[in-house]
Amino acid sequence: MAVPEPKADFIRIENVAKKFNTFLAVDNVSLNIAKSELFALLGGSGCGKTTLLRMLAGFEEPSAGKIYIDGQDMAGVAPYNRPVNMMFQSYALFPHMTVAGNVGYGLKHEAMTPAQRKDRTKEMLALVQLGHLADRKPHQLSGGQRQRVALARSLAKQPKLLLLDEPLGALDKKLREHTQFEIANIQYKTGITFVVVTHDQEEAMTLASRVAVMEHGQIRQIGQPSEVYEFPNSKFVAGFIGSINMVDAEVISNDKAGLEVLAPVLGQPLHVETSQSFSTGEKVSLAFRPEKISISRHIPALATNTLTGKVQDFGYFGKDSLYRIKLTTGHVLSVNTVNASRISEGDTKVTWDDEVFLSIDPKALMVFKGDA
Amino acid sequence: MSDVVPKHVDSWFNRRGWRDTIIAAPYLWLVLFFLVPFFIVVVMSFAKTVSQSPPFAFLPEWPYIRWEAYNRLITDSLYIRSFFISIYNATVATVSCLLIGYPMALGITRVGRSAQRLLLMLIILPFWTSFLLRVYAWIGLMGKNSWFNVALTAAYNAVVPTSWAIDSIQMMNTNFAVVLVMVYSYLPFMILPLYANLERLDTTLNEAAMDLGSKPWQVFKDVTLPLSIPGIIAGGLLVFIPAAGELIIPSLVGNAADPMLGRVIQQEFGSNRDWPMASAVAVALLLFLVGPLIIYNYFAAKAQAGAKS
Repeated sequence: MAVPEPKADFIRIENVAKKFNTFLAVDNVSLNIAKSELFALLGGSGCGKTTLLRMLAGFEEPSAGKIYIDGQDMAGVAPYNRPVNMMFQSYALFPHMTVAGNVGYGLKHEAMTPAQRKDRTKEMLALVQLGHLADRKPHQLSGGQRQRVALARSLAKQPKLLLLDEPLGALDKKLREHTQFEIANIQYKTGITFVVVTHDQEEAMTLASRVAVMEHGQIRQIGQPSEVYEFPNSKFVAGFIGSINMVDAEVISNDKAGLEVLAPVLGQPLHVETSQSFSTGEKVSLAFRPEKISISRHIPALATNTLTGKVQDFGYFGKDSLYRIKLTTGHVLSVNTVNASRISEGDTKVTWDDEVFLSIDPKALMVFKGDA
Repeated sequence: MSDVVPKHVDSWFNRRGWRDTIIAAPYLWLVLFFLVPFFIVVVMSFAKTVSQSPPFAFLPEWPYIRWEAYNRLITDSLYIRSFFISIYNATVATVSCLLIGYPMALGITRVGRSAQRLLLMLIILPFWTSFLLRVYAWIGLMGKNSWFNVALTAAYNAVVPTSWAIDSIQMMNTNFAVVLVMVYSYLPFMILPLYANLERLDTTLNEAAMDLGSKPWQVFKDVTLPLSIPGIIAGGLLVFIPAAGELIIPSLVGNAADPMLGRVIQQEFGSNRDWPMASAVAVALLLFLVGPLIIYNYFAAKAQAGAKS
């Protein structure tokens, strides 16, 4: 998704830090978020993503640094005065109010006539397809319906910025996939800037136009989902997003065509094509994703970076299969294949105890400085 | 288990009858020690006073009962007055307990876990001293020569013109003293159910309301207060019901000219030996207090239905 140039710094987070007693929850984070962007903060628990979100909402004040929303400095601005709304992880619906009461609650503070408030509430409920449940109480709704009420409530005031804290966390898998697209759709329709906090990398990748991966209160990488997945800038990001095979290695030669890297556990040097430069003899980590390896029972025709091994384990997931291949050196690699054709087609299928050849595209190999 | 324990013993312990017995026990208790005595009191209220032991008897012929006691109850100004004084004192005490107890209960929920435990301990601490002793302590405090009274008098004299100056404040043997000591005595019964209710409230609801544009007092009005109504009702009843029938406090610090119902019942039973009249007052008081209990049960059932789903 293209980022509109003029409003690229709609949300400006400048050198923001947050300290709780001695614990540094957010450590010098700087970040710009464009208008109408769907931005995801991704990280494990305790990485500071929720604290950053709460600082945007105004529930926490930064210990250092500045936050600007649409050019306005947010320092000292109370949550009820910010053009920001939040969808809480627990939804935080008011149990004593009806669905319509919940959605319309924030409009009490807007300069609107009662009729306008009613219309807006109706419009919001229609947006999340809950018009027929307006008079229900939250405890009479299913989890998915509550989630949509929470979304409608947070959108009702048409905030400049909408914060979503683990928006899909409490939903089951089927509903999650459906809601994912619904949220992206509503974001597109309303044009409101969304910031989503999640620990689920799949959720972040499918929802967001850009992702920031956080660890220990710092941002490790910002980029489009494909960028972060295919070109992680560190071992942490590579390991956090998706699954990966990572081994210790050493650069043994280094020329224009690429690198020769020897990983002792793989038993042979591999050829790597990369734009990064490394010196000969440097200790590195070699990483490659399971789906970037092709697997075959015959020697591949273009045999660069070919390893041999035996199928130790095999998991069939329908649309794809996961193999655990024990190399001749004893090291085990994960290999992922897409089941593009039907399984009944006999001998092309690799299964338990088969002797197999693995080949890895030199462009798919990632090299990081330092040991794994 | 059945290998070690002889079969007939095992089946004796596990027989289904135990469950019914356990359920029946509290009901049996209520029937024996509440319903039967209450029935006796109701029956007694229709008797007449006689000089014998026990000092009541029924009419020798049809209709055997008389309504004299109830007749006096609604015509004699002593009973009507004491009824209204009881309701008035109990209401003022309940509202005062709520006004003092609500901020305290809310305050306790807003501090750390260990501080909460300490503060709750302090709320319950007075119970470790005899109730009677605490009332006597108030008698000492309210007396004309006590440091408390002297200090209050001095403070009063300091702010009013000299022509209004007084020697001391008359606190003992007033209705004010009754309400004051009742508020002091029953405050924990207001704070504890309120605390239990407020402590359960999800504070993210407050954040959500604030996020949607409500200032702190609006958050209180729109979220905290309506969600704490079950706690207010529970605390209110726990204060109002015993306060309305209170005997000890008005007897010790109250004014004999403004008796509360508890004191009237005691006098009728005791010095007047008019058991039918005492019974009629007791029945009237009970009927009056059952009303709030029904309201409470209605709200409790409603709150439970809401919490379950």
